[in-house]
Amino acid sequence: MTDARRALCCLTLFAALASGCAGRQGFSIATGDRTFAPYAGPVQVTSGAVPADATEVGYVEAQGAALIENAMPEFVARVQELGGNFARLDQWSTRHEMVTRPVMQSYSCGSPRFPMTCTRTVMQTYELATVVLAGRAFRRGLGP
Amino acid sequence: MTLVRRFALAAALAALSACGSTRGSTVVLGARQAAFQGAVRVTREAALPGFALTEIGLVQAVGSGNQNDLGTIVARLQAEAAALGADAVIRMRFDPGFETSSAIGVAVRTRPAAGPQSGFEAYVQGQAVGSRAGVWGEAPSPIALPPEPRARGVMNGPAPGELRPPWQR
Repeated sequence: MTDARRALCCLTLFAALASGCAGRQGFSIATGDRTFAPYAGPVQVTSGAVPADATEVGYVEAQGAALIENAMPEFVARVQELGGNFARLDQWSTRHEMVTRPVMQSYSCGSPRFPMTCTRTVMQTYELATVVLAGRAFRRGLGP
Repeated sequence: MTLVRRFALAAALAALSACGSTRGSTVVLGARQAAFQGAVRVTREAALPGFALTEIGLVQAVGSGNQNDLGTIVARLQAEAAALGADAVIRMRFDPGFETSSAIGVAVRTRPAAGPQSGFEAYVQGQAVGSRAGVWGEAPSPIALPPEPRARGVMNGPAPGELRPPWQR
């Protein structure tokens, strides 16, 4: 097996393991007395007050890479998953962690007469920022 | 200036600019308004005593490298909020990292509260922000802005003698 193939195998194995360990980007838990079918319409999101006619249907958490605009679609999707059409953002935070990943590099390893390109795998450490949005999903317009 | 010197100066400027950067992110929850020109107040609290708040959106600022400090990041946060038409950022949370740090808050428009209580009335004017999974930020319909409480140049604050936030007393 050549160095390139060996490196490719290592990368594939690492990616497979990493994807197996990776969690979902968000989740939702039904907390209300009633459950609803998933909702496909617009979801109103606020960080302010919850209107009196809203019925809580669950807790929602969503994660996204670095920026709130990456986490918000997931948050809305989780609210819709619970059948909610209204959501309140209760908390938000950014989690920072140092992550090490293998990176494949190529370099010249031959001679002037026989030029060759070799590959090697090096470990690269970088900072990974994840935005977490947490809140509650509600259903409005249920009537009395 | 010789060509070499120009190149050296350009390289130095490029290197300096590469030492750090800030970037912003916004999610409009209410209705975007005309950009605000004054100083944007920032607080970690959820309310401003004496003011009614109208939610505009969630704002975020991220700083890295030599711009990974609270002052720079809050300044970027204020700029992002002002661009949305907000004159205050409430519920600001700062999360420091190793090489990058982030601050997130709620951009709001303030106006003196009519009654003794100040409240968050965003839900009254809130906009639908997602019509299908993974999509948000539907074009918000314009809302009626509250009348300007004071003359131009006064940053939507109360008149002298009225209730003021603690940092203005």
